[in-house]
Amino acid sequence: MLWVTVAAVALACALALLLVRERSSARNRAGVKLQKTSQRPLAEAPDRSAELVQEAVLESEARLNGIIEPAMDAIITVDEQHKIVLFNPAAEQMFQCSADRALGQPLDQFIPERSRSAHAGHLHAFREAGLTRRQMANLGSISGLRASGREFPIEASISQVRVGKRTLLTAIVRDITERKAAEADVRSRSARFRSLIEHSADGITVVNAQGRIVYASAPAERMLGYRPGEMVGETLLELVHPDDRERYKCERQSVVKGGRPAPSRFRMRHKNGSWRVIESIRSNQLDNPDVRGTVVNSRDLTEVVQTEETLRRQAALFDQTYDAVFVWEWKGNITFWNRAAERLYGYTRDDAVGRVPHELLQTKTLGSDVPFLVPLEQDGTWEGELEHTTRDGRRMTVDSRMTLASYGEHTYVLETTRDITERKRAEEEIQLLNRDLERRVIERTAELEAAVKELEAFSYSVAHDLRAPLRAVDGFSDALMEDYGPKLPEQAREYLQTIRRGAQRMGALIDDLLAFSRLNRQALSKQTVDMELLVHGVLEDVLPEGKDRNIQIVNGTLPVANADPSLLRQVWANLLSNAIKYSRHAQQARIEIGSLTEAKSNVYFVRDNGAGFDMRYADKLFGVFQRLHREDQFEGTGIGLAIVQRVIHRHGGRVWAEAKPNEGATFYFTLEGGN
Amino acid sequence: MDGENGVDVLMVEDSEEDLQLALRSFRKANFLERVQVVRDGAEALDYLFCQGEYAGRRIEDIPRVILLDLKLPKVNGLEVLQRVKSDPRTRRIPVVLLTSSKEHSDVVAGYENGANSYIVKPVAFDGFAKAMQELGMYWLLLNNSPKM
Repeated sequence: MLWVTVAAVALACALALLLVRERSSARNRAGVKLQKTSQRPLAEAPDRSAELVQEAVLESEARLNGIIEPAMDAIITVDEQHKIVLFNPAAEQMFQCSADRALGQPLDQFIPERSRSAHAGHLHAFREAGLTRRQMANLGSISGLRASGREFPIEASISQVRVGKRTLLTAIVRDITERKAAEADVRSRSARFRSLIEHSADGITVVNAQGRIVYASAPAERMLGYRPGEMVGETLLELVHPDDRERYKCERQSVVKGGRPAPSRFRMRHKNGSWRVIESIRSNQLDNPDVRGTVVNSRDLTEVVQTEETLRRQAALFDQTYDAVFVWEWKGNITFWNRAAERLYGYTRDDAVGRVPHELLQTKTLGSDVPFLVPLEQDGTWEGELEHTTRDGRRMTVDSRMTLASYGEHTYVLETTRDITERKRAEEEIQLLNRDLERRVIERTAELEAAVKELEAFSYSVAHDLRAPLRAVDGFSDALMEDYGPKLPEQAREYLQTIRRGAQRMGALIDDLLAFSRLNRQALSKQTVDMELLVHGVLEDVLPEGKDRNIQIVNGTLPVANADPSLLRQVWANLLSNAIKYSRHAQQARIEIGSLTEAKSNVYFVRDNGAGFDMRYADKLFGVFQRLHREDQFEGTGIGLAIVQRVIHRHGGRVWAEAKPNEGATFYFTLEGGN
Repeated sequence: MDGENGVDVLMVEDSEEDLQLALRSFRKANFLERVQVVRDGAEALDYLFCQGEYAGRRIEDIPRVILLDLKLPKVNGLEVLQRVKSDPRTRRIPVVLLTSSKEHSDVVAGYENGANSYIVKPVAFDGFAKAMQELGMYWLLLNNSPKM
C-alpha cells in the first residue's frame, strides 16, 4: 500500500505540472493520454521562469511517464464530471479497453451497473470530505467491469488533486482475481483440514511454551468432556494424573530437547472427574513460526486398556487352571501356553510359544499321527486320548479336548489336556481285576455247576442204586411170603412183614428226600393263584386220609396270591394232611383254614385242634427229618414241613407255628398278594 | 413187519435181583418162553440189529415190545432208545421204560425220545399188564393168560 500512496502522490504532482504546461499540447508519447479540459493558462510567468518551468515540466513529465506507464496497477484519472482523463496501459489491459476509447468517456462504464449510483455517492462524499486520498478497502469488496462485460474483483485507492479550480480524482486499481481465488483456495483447504481434524478419532492439542493449551481440536476436547473452546487456556499438565505428572514432564522435556517422539500413556482427568487413559505422541513445533508450541496427538485408550486388563486377568485365570491350556494356530505354532502346561510338560512358555505343538509334544495315538485334524475341521471340536512326551522324555496319556475358533482370517485351536496316565493305569488294573474276577466267576460257576451235576448224579444214584437193594429186600420178602408163606411159622411171616415195612419206609424216605432236593432246582413260575380254588382241590385229595372220621372243616376267605401254583399246592397239601393226621385223636376234629391281612402281604393259616406240640421245640419243626412225635404215634418222614418252609422262603414269605400240647397247632405263612 | 418168529418181549435189564423178580412174575403168568433177556445196552443193540453174537438172527424177527431199563452198563438205556427210534426197521417197536421212580427225570427224557410207556420197578406182572393195556397190546396178554 505504501507503494500506491507514493505513486499517488507522485501522480498528483505530475498531474499538476502536466496541467501547467498543457498549452504545449505535447502529446503524451508514452500513451498517457491527457485530455485538454481547459484552455486557460494556469499561471502567468516571466519568460525565464517560463523556461525554467518548462524544463521542470518536461522533467516531471518524463518522470511521471516512467511511473505511470509501467505501473502494474491500473491508474485512471477522472475530472469533475467523472470523465476519464488518464488511462494507463495497465488499465487498458485490466479493463480490456484501449486508452483511445476510454479517454473522455464516463468512468461508469468500468463499474458494474449495480454499483454505479453507490460509487457516484462515494466519490461525491470523498470530494466533499476534502480528503486527499483513501483506500476503498473499507467499502467492502468492490468489482470492476471489463469492456467485455465481465466483472472482476478489485482493490482500489483514490486520491484527489486540485489543479487550479479543477479537482481531478485518480483511482489506482488492482485486479485481485487471483488473490481472491488463492484466498478461497486457502479457505477451502483450511476448512478441509479443519474438518479432518475435527472428525478424526484422535485429538490434537497445541500447547505453548508455558504449557498452556492454545488449541484443542473438538475430539481432543470431547475426549475429556470439554465443550468446544473450553480447553483453551488450561494447563495440560494439571489434567494429568498426579502420579503420572513426573513421567509426563520427563517425556515433554525429552521431546523439547529434540528427543525422538514416542507414544506414551497417561491418565488424564475427565471433566466429570473420572480418569481416562490417553495415549499421546508429542512433537516439538516451538520453533515453527506458524505453531510456536508442542503439538500433542492423543487417543483415548481407556476401553482398550480395560479390555486388555480383562484379557490379562482372564489369561491369568487360565494360569490357575489345573488343566494344561494352550492355543495353537491352525496347522501352525503355539501362541499361548499356560502355567499348568508348563508344569505338565516341563516346557516354559518361552520354550513352547512358536513351536509346532505336535512336534514339541511328540503327539501319538493308536491311529494316525494327528487324527483330530479332520474332525476339528468338520465339527470344530475333538475329544480323545493322546500320547504326549514331556521335556524329560516321560510318555504319558492325556485326555485332550480341542476347539477350533476363527478370528478374522486366523484360525486357532484351543487345546486343554489332562494327564490321565495314572487313571489309565488304574483302569487297566481294574480291567485286569475284572477279567480275573470274571475268570474266577466262571471257574466258580463251573465248580458250582459241577457240584450241582454231582448232586444230580447223587440224586440219580440215590433214586436208582439205593432203591435196587430195597426192591430186592421187599420183592424177595414178598416172593418168599407168596411162594412159601403157608410153610412158614406165624412168627416168620411177621418178621417178613417187618422187613417189608422197613424197606417200604426207606423207599418213602428216599422219595421225600428227592422231592425236597428237587425243590431247590425247580424254577419258580409265579402267577396269580386263586387260593380258595386251590385249597378246595387239595382238600379233595387229602380228605380221604381221614375218610373214616368226622372232621369239621371251617373255610375262611382266602385272598389271591402271587405264587407258583404247583409248589403252593404242595404247601397246602402238607399242612392240611398234617392237620388231619394230628387231629386224629380229637373227639371232634376241627380244621380251620383262613387268612389275616398284613400291610404288605397276606397271612394264611391252617389251625387244628389236634395233638399240638411244645413250643420249646418249635425251632426244630421245619428241619429236614425233624419230628416232634414218635413214628408209632404219628407216621411220617419229617420232610413235609421242611418242604413247606422251603417253598415259602423261595417265595420270599415267612412261615411259623403256634401250638400247645394237646390243644392243637396253627401254622401260618405269608405270601405277597396277587393282582 | 411183525415177524412170526420174533419174541414177544425184549427185556433189557442189568440188575440181577430186578430181573429175577420180573422173570418170576412172568413165569407165574406163563410168559417166560416169550421173553428174551439182554443184560446191557450194547447187547440190546447187538440183538436188535443182529450184530455180534446175534449176527445170525434175522432182523425181521423183531420183538413186539421192549422193556428197557435206563441205567445200563456200556450203552445206557436212553442211547438204546434213541437208536431204536431213529432206525426205520425198529422205530415202530413200542418201548416201555423200567424206572425206579415215576417222578424221575428219566421218564421225561424217555418220553421226549419216543418211549411209549413206563413201569415203576419192580416189574410185577400186573404192572406189565397195565402198561400193555395202555399201549393197546392187550392181545399180547390174551394168548398167555396167567396161571392163577
